[in-house]
Amino acid sequence: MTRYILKRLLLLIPILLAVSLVVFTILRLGHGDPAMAYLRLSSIPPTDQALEVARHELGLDKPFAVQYVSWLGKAVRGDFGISYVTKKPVLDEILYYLPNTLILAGYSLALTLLLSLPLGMISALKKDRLPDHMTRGLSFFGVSIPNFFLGFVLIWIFSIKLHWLPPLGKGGFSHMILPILTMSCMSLCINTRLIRSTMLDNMHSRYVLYARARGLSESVVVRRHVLTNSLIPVITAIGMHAGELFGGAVIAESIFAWPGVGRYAVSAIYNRDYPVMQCFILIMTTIFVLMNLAVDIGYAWLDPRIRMQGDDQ
Amino acid sequence: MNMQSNRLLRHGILILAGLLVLLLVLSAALAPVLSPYDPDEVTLELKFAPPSMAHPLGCDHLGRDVASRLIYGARTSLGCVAVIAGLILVLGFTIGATAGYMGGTVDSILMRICDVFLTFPTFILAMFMIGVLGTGIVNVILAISLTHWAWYARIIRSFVLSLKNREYVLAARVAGTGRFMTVLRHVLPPVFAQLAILATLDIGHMMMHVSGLSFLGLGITPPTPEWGVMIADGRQFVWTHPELILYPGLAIFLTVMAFNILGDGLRDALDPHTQTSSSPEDTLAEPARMAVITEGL
Amino acid sequence: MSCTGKTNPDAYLSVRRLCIASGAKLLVQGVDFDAHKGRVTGLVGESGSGKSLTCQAVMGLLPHELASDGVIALDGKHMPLKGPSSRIRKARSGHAAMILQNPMSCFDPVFTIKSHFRETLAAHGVPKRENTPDRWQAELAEVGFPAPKTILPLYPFQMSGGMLQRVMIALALALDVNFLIADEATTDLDAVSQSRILDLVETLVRQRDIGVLLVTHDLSVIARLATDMLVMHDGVIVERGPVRDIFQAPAHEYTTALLAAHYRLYGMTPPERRPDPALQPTVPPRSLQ
Repeated sequence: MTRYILKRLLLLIPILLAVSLVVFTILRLGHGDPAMAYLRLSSIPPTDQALEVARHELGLDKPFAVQYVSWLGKAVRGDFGISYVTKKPVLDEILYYLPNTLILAGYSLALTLLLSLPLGMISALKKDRLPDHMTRGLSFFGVSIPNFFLGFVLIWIFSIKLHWLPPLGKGGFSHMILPILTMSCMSLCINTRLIRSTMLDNMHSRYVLYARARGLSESVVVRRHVLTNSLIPVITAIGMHAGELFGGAVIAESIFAWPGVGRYAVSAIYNRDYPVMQCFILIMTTIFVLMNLAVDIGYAWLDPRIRMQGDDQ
Repeated sequence: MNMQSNRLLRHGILILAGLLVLLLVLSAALAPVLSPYDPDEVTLELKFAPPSMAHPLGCDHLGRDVASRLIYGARTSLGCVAVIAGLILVLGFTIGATAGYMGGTVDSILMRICDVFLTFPTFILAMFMIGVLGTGIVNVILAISLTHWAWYARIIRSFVLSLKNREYVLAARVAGTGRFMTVLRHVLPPVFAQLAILATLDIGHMMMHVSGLSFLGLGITPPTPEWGVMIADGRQFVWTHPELILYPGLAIFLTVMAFNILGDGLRDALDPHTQTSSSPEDTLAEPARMAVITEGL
Repeated sequence: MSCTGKTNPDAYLSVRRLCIASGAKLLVQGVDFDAHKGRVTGLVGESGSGKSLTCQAVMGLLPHELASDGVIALDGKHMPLKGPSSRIRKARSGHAAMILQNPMSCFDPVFTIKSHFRETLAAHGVPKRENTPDRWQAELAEVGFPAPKTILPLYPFQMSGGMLQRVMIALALALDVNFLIADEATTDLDAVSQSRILDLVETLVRQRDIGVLLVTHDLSVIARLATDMLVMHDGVIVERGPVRDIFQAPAHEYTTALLAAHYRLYGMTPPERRPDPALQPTVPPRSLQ
């Protein structure tokens, strides 16, 4: 197991390097002259001379490889440059807003897992009866509703009509409820259906038949065997949910004016604030990669077949 | 519910979904004909006009007819998604099928490229690309296509790999059929069927990303009538005139649901491998995603 | 369909009028038979003949969607066919155990052999102080593992089909049952493993006085081990009797066809359907060891 973990940790380095290269390449290849954007945001008239000075200052006149290496060198030391807009170090600003986003994402993931497990189980165990039909119907709706619409629906019901919850901003826990609900809806529905279908597949498997033949009680069969085997694809799915959750966080922060890194990034994109943009995508991708790594390790821990492939017999 | 009424209900829902999709496609294609007004026509006297005979869904904050904007919005959204789907399918199929069939170094290189793209969270990457390319419908199409193709390539590749070694393909090769003909006659048809299912099921997802980006102001920009843009326009009036958000939101919701139902129905019809235990609705595109994710381990 | 309806108190396993249906379709019809301790009774039939369903009915494992009727008695006690699974389990506890084909798919891939032993014994009320690795190792040794200690921590995927089949037998023995149902237990195995398993079963029958219901479509296995046999076709028992008699002189045309195919495999002439006393009966050879 340790060998597996070490191997995956080592693989992180080339992965993150490749990510940084792609980001840097896209940035340089895209339209929009960073020098122009810089001047515009600094309210300096973009004369040819000013452009040249800006280009030199931003290091844009050097060859690609040199730019990349120097950029990478700075990034590794935590220097992602200065925001064109606020003139403050980018990393500091992003790290200031990031915890707010992570709080929302964390709670959303927790809600997804905590609710989908029992719902999926009940749906599977009471297949084709009322709880199953209700869960499946609701899940189907939940998967089709766009989160930017759902957010406003929730605001309308719970803030405007019922006055139960505040519609905007950051405050106590009550401010988090609506954003979290908005974000978790789709993942929750997908996960519930996944658990249901995985459990149903496992309930019809031969090891369940043999377990019953050996005299195990139904509750032991379900709790110990079916559930454990069903969790494996569910854990794998967490990585997928994380990706969706990040996108959902950006939207939820916009709707609910939540001061997170997504909202910050959106305004940076409006302003063509390139240093912020690239730091944003690098940080978010790194978090995503680390989450997937955790998922892989969890998956290997659960499934001995994966765990032992790397080790000698 | 007994089997008969269950099946009838399923078929009824499928037909409804099909009709809805047809309606949407027609709206998209015939928008100039069907729409009663010009969607961009600003008539400030009609600001927030309630539903009436002349304006069945009322008017928005600039006096524009909501119904017309919805119809044109169908055109924008569906058109966008159609192009994206086309691009993704072409790109994903070319790379995935080539990698799967050729194997060896070609496969390794192509899959490394795929993996790099799969490492990014898709929506964030799309946002970043918009940041670099700028907003607008062309850039949205490019951004979403470039961020989503890798998933398809992987699925097509594993599918082609599984087909490559099937007995009937091997038999055809042994019988002397050339490589190209083998591919054409034996490998392509099931791949296309699988692609059709995947694409239909994913249309809803793509539509939500297009509208999501537009809602954030990072995609299709106002005044172009697009459902996400309409929601963004209407958000400031959620307290006073929530219907401006309701109509486009419902439009997206119903469209996505219709395509999901259609995709499930397509899968039932074309792919007989659905297990008896799990019903078609349960899975959408997840198992395919699972295959991709676990394969990447 | 001849039946008295009353189960045979001398037989360990006694089945009367067993019927299993899926909706309106009858899968198993009026099955009657007895099986005794210390003897191997063979149940032969092709796939779809209903033999697996019969086994599942005896063990109380029929899926809920199937309707069933009839009487099943183990050691003189009537077994419930339907009802809460806890009741069904309790009734069969200590009486009968089952081993299945394709043993790799029967074990839970994420649990060790140790875990399988522990939970199986615990489910049958074995107290913690007796539910120990020593006991499990003893059972594994009895089925022929030279180093049982190394087997316990293994996962199913680390073992071969033959090994897992022996573990299945060990699990059955650990429950101290008097009857074993072997449902196509050797079908997936190679000839060597198959032979080992059959030897093991034969030894256990002799040493522990266990009764075995040996379900298979392979007549050589029947010829090797079974004393009596039942031939099942389309859910009905079409012929029954001592193995030797049936092999020499089958009465039913289905049995004849089966035997003909079996003999042809060995390059021999199949027996006549209706035996002529004037003809020298040919004894079927023992199949490969």
